[in-house]
Amino acid sequence: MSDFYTWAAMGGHGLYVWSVYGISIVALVVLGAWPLRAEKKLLVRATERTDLEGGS
Amino acid sequence: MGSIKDVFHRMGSPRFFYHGSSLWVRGLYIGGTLGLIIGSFWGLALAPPDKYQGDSFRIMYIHVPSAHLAEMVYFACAVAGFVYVVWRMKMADVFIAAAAPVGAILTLLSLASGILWGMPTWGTGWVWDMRTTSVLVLLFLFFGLIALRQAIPRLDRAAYSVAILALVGVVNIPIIKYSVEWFTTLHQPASITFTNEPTIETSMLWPLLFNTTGLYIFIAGVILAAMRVEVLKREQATEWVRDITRSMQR
Amino acid sequence: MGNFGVQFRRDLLVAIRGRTETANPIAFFVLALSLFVFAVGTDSETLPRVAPGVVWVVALFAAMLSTENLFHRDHDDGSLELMLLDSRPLFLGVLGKLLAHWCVSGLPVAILSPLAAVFINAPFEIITILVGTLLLGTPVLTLIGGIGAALTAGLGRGGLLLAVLVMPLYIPVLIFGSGACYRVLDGATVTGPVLWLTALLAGSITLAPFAIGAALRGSQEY
Repeated sequence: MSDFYTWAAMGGHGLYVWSVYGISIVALVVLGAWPLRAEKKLLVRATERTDLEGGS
Repeated sequence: MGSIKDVFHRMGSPRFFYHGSSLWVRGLYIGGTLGLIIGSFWGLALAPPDKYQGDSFRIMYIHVPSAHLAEMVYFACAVAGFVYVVWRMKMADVFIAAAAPVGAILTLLSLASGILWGMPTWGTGWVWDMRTTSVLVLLFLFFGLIALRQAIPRLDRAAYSVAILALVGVVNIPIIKYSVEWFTTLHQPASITFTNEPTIETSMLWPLLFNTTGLYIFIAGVILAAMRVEVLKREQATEWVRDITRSMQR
Repeated sequence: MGNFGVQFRRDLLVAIRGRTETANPIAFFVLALSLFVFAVGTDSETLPRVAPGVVWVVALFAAMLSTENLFHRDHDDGSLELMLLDSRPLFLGVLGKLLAHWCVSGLPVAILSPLAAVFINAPFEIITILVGTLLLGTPVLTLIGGIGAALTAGLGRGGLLLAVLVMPLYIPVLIFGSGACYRVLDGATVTGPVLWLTALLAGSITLAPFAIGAALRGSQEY
């Protein structure tokens, strides 16, 4: 286990290294998920509208 | 049929684009994520620590690809701007609209990682060196593209103006870069030198290659997905979008 | 050349007749300078050192703020549309307009800059280079600002938007302009930055009018 901790400490730079990787994971996940969500939202809203218009 | 011109026309059709791109998005997302996971694991766990910077150099595997990608996204926007100005191809404008926010976030990511890399190695978060400053300028250029589009209510005028702005920006990028370089040689504090950059070993280079390629693929997927959203937004009233929603109702 | 002369003469006349509007950039220049002095203090060590940079930044802001209304009135009263319909080359007309605008914004600022330099205790040896770089640099600022003004023409909310669009493109002019002044202070040669400013001027004179023309056509098309 101590191997893991020395690795995670990154020779004293752990805070910087891990926060960079943390920030980039958050940024990339947000980037990737945002258009997919927006697309779904748009389609749902459009379906609601056709529901209102058509009725049939 | 099947000529280049034919492909060009089809690509210009929002409907064809929307139907043809959904599988591409999934593939690019998966491929990009794989590349990034391999590159990051390699870079974090397998690559040996740097002789001069210790383990903090591992930030490079995020910093360099994001800065590179941000710049490439701007160039791509300028190319799309040229295509729009010359051929009035709608999809070129859809590309700029989708890519500009993505590029801005990449630029922010590269600035943030640069600051966090600078703190342990240089002792300060911010240095007005050439690369940092030109990335900052790139951020402003992206902001300009986004702000101009939001300020113009009419879609077609916004498209044309943003395309011109992207072209003007890309002409200026090398000039700005050179001037900032000149500026930094004049004002560089003596305590920080960049001259003794160690040559990178190949074992350190592989993760960089994986991460850069992975980010390229992933960002291509993100921009493609954002373009689909943009297309849907613009074509809401058309029959083919209604067909999609009708099929969803069933 | 007809278009160039017509636009130049007309805009200059409009500017001279609307005196207060023409005086605004100059008033702004002097006022903003004194604001800087109030903020930085009159310390005889720091003020001469920051003076060239301050004069350049303030001149840049004056140029940017005055380009804002470069096309607004013409857009509103329709004369812009007439200029676009003219069969003569558009870029000449644009160039004429810009030259007229520079004559009432950049040129007075450059002429006043020695006074401003004395005003904020700048060292005497930089005065010549300050005027020289401003004479070379402010036309570039007007030309680049013109692109931003053309892109935002008729939007009714220039201001900060114009600043966001144009300021990144101003960076090289600012760096070489104030850099030349600091080189004189440090006793180095100024050929490099001055040649660069000249190159920027030549480049923007040839390219900017076309970009402005295209942007103006875009603003009228719809």
